[in-house]
Amino acid sequence: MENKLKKTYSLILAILLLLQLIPPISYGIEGYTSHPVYNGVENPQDQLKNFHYSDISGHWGTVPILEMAGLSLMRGVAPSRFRPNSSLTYVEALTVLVRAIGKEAEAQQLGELQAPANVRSLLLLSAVHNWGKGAVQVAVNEGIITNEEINQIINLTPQEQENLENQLERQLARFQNGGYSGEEIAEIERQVKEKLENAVWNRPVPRQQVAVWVARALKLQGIYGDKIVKTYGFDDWEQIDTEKIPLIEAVLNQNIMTGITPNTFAPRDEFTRVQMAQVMFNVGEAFLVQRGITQKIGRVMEIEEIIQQQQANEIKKRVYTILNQDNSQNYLTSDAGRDFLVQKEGGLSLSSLLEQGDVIYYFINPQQEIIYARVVPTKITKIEGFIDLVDVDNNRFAMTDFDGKKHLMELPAFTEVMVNGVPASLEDLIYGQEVKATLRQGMVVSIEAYLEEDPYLHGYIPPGSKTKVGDVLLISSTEIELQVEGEREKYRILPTTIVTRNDQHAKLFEVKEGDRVILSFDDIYSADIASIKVEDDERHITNIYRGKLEYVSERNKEMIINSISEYQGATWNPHPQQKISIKVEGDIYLGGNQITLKELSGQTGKELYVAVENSYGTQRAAKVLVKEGSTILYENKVTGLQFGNSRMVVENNTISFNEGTIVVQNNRLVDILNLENQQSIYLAADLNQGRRNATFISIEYDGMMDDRIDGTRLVVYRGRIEDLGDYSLTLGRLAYQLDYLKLENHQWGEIARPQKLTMTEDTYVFDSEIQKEVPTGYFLNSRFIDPNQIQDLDLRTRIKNNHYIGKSAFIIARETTLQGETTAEILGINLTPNHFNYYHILNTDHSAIGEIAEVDLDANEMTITNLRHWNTLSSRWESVRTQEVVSMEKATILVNDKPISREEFYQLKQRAKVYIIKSKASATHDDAYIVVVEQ
Amino acid sequence: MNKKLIIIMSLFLALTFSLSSFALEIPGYEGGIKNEMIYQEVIFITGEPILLTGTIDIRKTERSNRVTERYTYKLANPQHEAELSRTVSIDNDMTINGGQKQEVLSLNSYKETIEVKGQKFEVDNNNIQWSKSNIQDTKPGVIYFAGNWDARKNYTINKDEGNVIVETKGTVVGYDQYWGETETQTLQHFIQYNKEGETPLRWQGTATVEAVHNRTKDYTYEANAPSQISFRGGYLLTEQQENILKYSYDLPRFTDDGTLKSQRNTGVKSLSLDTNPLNKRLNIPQMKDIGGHWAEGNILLMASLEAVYPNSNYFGPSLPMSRGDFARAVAMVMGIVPEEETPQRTRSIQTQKEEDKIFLDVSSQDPNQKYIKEVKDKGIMVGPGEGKFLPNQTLTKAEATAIIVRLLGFENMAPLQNYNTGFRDDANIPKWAKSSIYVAKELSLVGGTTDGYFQATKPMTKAEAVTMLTNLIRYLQKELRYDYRERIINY
Repeated sequence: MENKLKKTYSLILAILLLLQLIPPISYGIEGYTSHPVYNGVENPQDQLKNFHYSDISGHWGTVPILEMAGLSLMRGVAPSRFRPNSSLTYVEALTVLVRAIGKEAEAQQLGELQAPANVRSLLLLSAVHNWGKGAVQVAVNEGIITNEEINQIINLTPQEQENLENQLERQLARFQNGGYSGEEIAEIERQVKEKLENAVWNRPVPRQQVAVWVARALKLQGIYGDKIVKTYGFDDWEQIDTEKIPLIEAVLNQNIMTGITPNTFAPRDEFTRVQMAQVMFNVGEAFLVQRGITQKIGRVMEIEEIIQQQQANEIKKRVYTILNQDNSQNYLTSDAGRDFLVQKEGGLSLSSLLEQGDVIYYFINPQQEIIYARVVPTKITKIEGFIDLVDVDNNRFAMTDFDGKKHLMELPAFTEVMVNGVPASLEDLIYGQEVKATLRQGMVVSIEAYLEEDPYLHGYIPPGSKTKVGDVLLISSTEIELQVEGEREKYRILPTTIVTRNDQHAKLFEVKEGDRVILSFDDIYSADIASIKVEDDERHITNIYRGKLEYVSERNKEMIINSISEYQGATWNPHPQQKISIKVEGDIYLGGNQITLKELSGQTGKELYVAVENSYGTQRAAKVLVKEGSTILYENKVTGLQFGNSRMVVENNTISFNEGTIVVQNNRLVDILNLENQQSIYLAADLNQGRRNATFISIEYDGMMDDRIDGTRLVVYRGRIEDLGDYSLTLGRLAYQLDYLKLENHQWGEIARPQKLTMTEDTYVFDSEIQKEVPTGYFLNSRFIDPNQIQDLDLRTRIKNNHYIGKSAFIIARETTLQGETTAEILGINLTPNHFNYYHILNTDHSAIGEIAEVDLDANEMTITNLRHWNTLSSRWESVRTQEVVSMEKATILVNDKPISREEFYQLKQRAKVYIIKSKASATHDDAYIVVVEQ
Repeated sequence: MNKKLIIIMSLFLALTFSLSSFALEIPGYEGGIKNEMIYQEVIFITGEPILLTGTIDIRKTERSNRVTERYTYKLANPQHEAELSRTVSIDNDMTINGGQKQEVLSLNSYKETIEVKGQKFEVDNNNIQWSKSNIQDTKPGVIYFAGNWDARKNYTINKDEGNVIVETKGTVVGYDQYWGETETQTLQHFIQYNKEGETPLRWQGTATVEAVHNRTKDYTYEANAPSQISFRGGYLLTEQQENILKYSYDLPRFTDDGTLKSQRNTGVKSLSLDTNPLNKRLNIPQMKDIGGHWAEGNILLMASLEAVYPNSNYFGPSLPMSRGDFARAVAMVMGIVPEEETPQRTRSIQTQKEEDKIFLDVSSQDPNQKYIKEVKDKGIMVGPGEGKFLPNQTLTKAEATAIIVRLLGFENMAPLQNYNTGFRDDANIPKWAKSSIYVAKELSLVGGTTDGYFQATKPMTKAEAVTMLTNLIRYLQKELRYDYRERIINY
């Protein structure tokens, strides 16, 4: 049962819904919007013609008079005259009130019904007369006027009675000879009499009477007793008829009427037409409701011209978008046929008067048409002061102006709020803020608030919050040049710039070309770097492959290569895996041009060079180059490098390079610009149509002993300790006719003059003969110290006997050149007391560079790959194709300029670059004495 | 009997539903990673890093503002003869405050047993201190979150042979949006090992574990091989998760019989677990007028994503982009698609829905209306004020920039007060758009002309607007990921 009900109910609902969905046959734009649309009324132009008053311009009552016209409440006495200062008559007052309560039609019908037939064509009683009569009757019916009042009005004094009779006689005399029948004469007499009698209604109505009628029309309740306040405020209140006082008090209370002066009500004075207009204006909406007219307040947001095509007719329409005070929206429309009256700045015309931004009162009739709109005068007031209160929930706002006056404002929905010239919302306003409110006739249209700005904070950002990520292209002690998405950008390095790597402090020279860095800045304008963060070795190049492309998966961003050989220490070795799958995204090149993965799939079957990084355990191609031509390999120095025409000379061959050339240095992919003349490189080139194009270049890094960007460099000495002083060590000749040696450009050179070098507490001293660390303090102060404090017996004896004076040692020092002055500080000493260098021809020490493949802490050995030995005869590095095991037992090791103790060898990382000074101990075995590591 | 089964089944279903309603894939708090099949985690408790592989089972039950999370781990590493089992129950109390969500997590129960080569390490409720809290900030297009946790576990060794104290300080930071999601966990362990008995052993070690969960949506154009086919190709949308585990350690070295040796055992390792990509083929656009246009690829992509109407024959790349169409494009690109009203079978008639009047000038018949409503509700596009949206007006570059920055929630990243954006027409940039333009420029989301002008008030063409959104997608896929992943674990 219930279900059934539900069903029928929902059926009805559905039908209703369907009905709503079918658009009503629409006139105009209704179909295009979900907001109410009000069209203008028909023929307002003709209506307008009735309101061309010439006698009201400049009159104080223009606004109410025109409002009365627009709302059809009061007309002029003629189309061109309103006679504002003429007295209002009884009948006029009642007619206006009857009209105001929406009974005009009724009054007219009543008047029409009672109108006597005309005698022949004589028009004795006009429509005005008849309708006036009807109005009086309606007023009686509606209880506006009482019978007592009627009697009072029509009650004539004897003198008046006599005058009336005389007039009647005189007028009737005119008809006596008109050939009218007796019946007709009687009728004429009746009508003339009525007219004359009725003339009493055309007498001026007193003010107190109007007040009472208005009160009754509004159905106001009379006010009695001690509630009567306002009336007593007038000096002449006693002249008011007793029975009228309560209603007059009510009218005064509603601010519908006031006295003629603050102290005078003048109850028996005449009332002017303009005063009536003002009273009706003051009543406002209360009467409109009775006529079914709705009053709205809104702002004209937009005015659009629309041309509507309707059955071969073109209808030009103006559409006014109105945002109402309550945040609802309407459209008003007008066209040639329909329009509405608009009062603006003392004039009355059609809707074309409206402008965007106008705030209007507008009136909608029961037929949902707009009949009239009044533009609130565009009087703009500005109030400046400070915010007291912001009530977001109720859209209210209070402020105190600069004179200390408080203002409480209601904010319509269309109020604009700005803070420092930027749109904001009410929530953004704060107590005490300086503010400027702009009002349009009492309505707040905009609020501009200001926040004090501290000029020192213009452009402030939290220090370090501006960052830049890029790959290092070039770096010096003062500048870093990055490659950011193909653009080159330069920034300044300051002495205060902090360099970190893996969250640990790093030295500037540890930032290598090809590293990815994050620069941070304290200031939005400056190029001064606050900090440089260097990426760890996660993205370093781990492998260089040459293989045949077998398959490319575009959507998985993957490729498979086979027949792979891998570059290792200047050779290409076959890779144990038959096939490798490599992630590949961008940076794919074919003959100098970047290509997409899709284009790469068209190269299947060709050979590729792939530089691979092994980030997060996945092989990823950092750069891919398609091989085109036959391979030629070189291993030599670069001579004649020309970036201008992208050429270089290696072994007297001109080789061109391009964007696609894979250049690797220090396990990092670097730019071709990082190539320098005289650099040792390994180069693979494609021979193609007689041209040699560089495909892969490995820049052999030997720069550990070179000048570094921060003005320092490492130097190695081989000499005899002549003297030990206060934090100093004097280095002297090794042997008779053999000066001490300094490593320059990987070669030992003799230096004649003894040199005093600075030592510090941090200098690492190692006796490689007995393989013991010598505590720096003891070593320095060996002349003053009590040797018995030394626990180690061997060391104690040696210190005691000044064993090290006059003995040879390897010394590694750091030279710093600042403003042309060079200072040297010893970082590490490797004492070799029993090494004797008798002859300067026989030199068993030599340099080697390579990469750590493995460190065996238990055996104190490291395995070096990519090993190259310095050939002193040819002055160049020569590759060793095999790995080599080097003993660290006798070595002093420096990691990133910091000597490490015997217990810290575990810090050495795989793939770190090493520079080794080693000595042949036997035919098969080398001992390292100085090891410089960069990692 | 049958009824009971159904009840149980439905209960089970309800449970699984509450599970899947959780958006972020956090495989526990212990710095582990997982894919569809396995879960991996490293332990250092024995003094050497051991990578354990196994399964994790996560159950979440939601009650008003409290979520109870239950984790069950079963992990092993046969090479090291190691096994781990761990059951954790955590209460998560959530407080939602506007766009922010605060989570305070506390431990309900904890039990962990690790067995390595016969040695047994155990922790239970009484030997653990644990606290975690997260904060989440919801912006129109992206949700950002960060959290911290601190724990101190006191493992017993073989019940009474001493203990191992592991102190862990963890942070988590991440974001979640339509094109990607990243969560980076960093854990710092400080391990103190104290074994007593006949052969006492004491050592200290530290380890850092970084676990990154990432999901990225990506697109590729798949061309068809045959030439005689109604369409040349189309876009494929793939979604894949990349999970990375990176750990570094500084631990002692041991001899074969388990005593301490000189020097230390240090290292860094990283590995990843990817999921299989999820594929989705997108619509094939029908446009005829974009072939060879400089933005053809971007337009095709946007049309495939239905960000621009894919079914119209003409696109008009050089015509101005309307604000209404841009609203739709933004909503589709960011996956902010208004929920379609799905007709329900139980009710044959839909009740009348109250019409939402959002803007003066957006009618309910406007095909973009629902998108405009959605971007308005999320605060992405607010209109020029005064209740208007101007859906049929052109979109300026400044407006588009402001929209994109608002999406990301980065308005406040701009400098204070007066500053120069660095464009030559800085003075012509409207004040309200300045901070957005600055931020967007810093993030390379927008650029100026080649000669350094921004042209803030110039209407954007459709091709330009579409390119801007393609840039946004790239940013959301890659740059944001770099900032949350590589920037944390590689630097």
